[in-house]
Formats: sequence, C-alpha cells, structure tokens
Amino acid sequence: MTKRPIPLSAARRTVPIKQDTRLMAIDEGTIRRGIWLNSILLSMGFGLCCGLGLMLLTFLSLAITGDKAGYYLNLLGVFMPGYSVSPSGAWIGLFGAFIYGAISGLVTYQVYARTSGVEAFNRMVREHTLPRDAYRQATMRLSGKALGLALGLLLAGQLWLSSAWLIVRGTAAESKHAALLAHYLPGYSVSFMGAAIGAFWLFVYVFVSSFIFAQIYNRILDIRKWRGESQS
Amino acid sequence: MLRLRLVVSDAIGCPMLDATDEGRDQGGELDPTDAFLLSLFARIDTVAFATAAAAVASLTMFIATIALLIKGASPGYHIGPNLGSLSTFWPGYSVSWGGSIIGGAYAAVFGGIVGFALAIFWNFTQLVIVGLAALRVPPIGSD
Repeated sequence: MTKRPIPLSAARRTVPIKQDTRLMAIDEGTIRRGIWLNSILLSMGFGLCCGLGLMLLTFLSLAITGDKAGYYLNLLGVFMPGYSVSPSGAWIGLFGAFIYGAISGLVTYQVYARTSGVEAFNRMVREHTLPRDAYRQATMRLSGKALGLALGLLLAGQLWLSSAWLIVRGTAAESKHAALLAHYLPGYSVSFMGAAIGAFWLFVYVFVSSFIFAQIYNRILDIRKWRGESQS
Repeated sequence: MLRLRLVVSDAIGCPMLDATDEGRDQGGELDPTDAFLLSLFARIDTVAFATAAAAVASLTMFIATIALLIKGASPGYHIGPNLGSLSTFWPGYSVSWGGSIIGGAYAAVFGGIVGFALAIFWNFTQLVIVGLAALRVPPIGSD
C-alpha cells in the first residue's frame, strides 16, 4: 500500500473570504469584544496553570526534600511577598502565581490578536463549507510570528522588570542566581543595561521557540486533518 | 448560519450584530464577519498542541543542558549545579550528555501535560460560553 503524499496546497486552504468587503465588513466593536473575551479566557487558563503549578511544586518540594525544601523556590518570595515553601506559603503562592499568570495571559492574547490581526483570524478557519454547527469543527491555526512577538515581548519585559526590581530594592549585588542567566543570555547582568541586553536575547530565544511551536502545531494539524479526510 | 451568528454574537456580548441573512453565504464564500466569529471560537487541536508543547519543552531542556556542557566549568567545579538540582523532581537527571536525553524526556512529558491542560481548558470554556449563549438565543422563527 503506497502512502499518498500530503497535499500541501490543500492542507493550507482556508475558507475563501469575500474580497470586496474583507476587513471593512467587520465591526470594530465586534473585534474588540471578541478579543477581550478570549483574552480573559486565556488569562484564566494561564492563571490557573501558574497558580496550581506553583502550589503543586511547593507541596511536592516539601514532600520530597523535607527540611531542605525551598532552596530555590524561596527566591520567588523576592517577587511575591509572603510566599515561602511552607503549607501556608503554598496558598499565597497559588494566589500570587494566579495573578501573575492571569496578567501574562491577558497581555499575551492582546498582543497576539492585535499583531496577527483579523487576517490571521481568517486563516484559523479550516473548513470549506459552513454547516450549522461549524464552530464545533473550526480548528485554530497559530501564527508563529504573532505568537513569538507576544510571548517574546512578555517574557523579555518580565526579565527586565524583575532585574529592575532587584536593583531598586538594593539586592542586585547579592543576586547570584539571577546572574547565572548570563550562561544563556550573553551580556546579561543585574543592571539596567545588562537586563536590556538579556531581554533582547530572551526575546530572540522565545520568538524562535514560539515560531517552531506554531510550525509543529500547524503541521500536525494538517496531517491529522488530511488523515481525517482520507478516512471519511 | 443565521442562528450560529446570533449565538456567537451573543456569546461575545454583541446582540445588535447584523442579524440579516441577505447577501451572505453566496457562491460558497464565507462572510468576513462570520469567518471572524467562527475563528474566535475555533477549538485548539489538543493532540497537536500537546505534541508541539512537548517537542519545544524537550528541545529547550536538551539545549539548556548541553549548552552548559559545551561551556564547561572552571577546574575543580561541577558543571551546572543549579540546573542539576532539577534531579530533585526528575530522578536520573544530571548535567551530562546522558542527562540531557533524560531531561529532554522529562521536559517532554511535563510540556505535553501543560499543553494538553491548556488546550482542554480553552476548548471547554469556549464550549461552555457558546453553549450558554445558545440557551439564551431563541430558535429562529420563534417569538
């Protein structure tokens, strides 16, 4: 049995949009409301992941390492007042990390949606016909550049702000763990300029990673879609 | 299509969105507004998302480990004692060539779980929102 090659042109087809109306036909208020709804959803998702993740990690650290727990995790207390590797600290961590994740999710989706624009939304729709329950079948495609820009800006900004916070609170010289980032981010140091250089490198890494992520996702989506069409 | 548009419009809080069906869905083309509304509620492919997350997490961990190995350490010092402390959570991991493979495998599992959870959460919440909107919007033709 010979395998049929994946028809790339077919796999990348999108629903044809009326050329004459295209973007103008979409009400700005609709776009804004839609983007905000999804921003809130992603913010809740990120927030829950971060909050529950940190709480789980804290309890796991306590269970595994016992008295030695918190050698690294306690450092989060610098940025998250009240957090420590303890049962009560885990709940503070849940709340703090939820807030952090929620803000990150909100910023990510806002930047993603506004940079990829409505054109990218159109590319997300994969169906060629519109059955009554089309929304159940439409599958999201990712824009690698927009995702890279959104996550890259977010994380680069967070690195710079974290470093700035260490400088402002006067513990830059003692921040030996933060300084270790120079192993991966050439030129990084806990200073305003060093943080800017590190933020640049982090942006590059995150942009490339996000682009690869989106490419893998879209490619697997194409393969699964193609297999689904072959079987039906 | 009209009901779908009304439902999705309601879901994002735009009940006054154009509710006429004239001039739409002609010649197999999709109206831009419909395309936008549909894409807002497009689901994430959980398998593709989890796989991509696993692949990127694994690759990142692998590169992070071998970057330290290539860079090396001063004589008398261990390579990557801080990254190596991940072995607390990932038994068998170390900053070594073999450890980079083990770390990559652990990161793949971790990344896959996080990616899967995010995709499920996204799809579920959107389904709930559209479902609730569908309950609010009366069927077409009823008063």
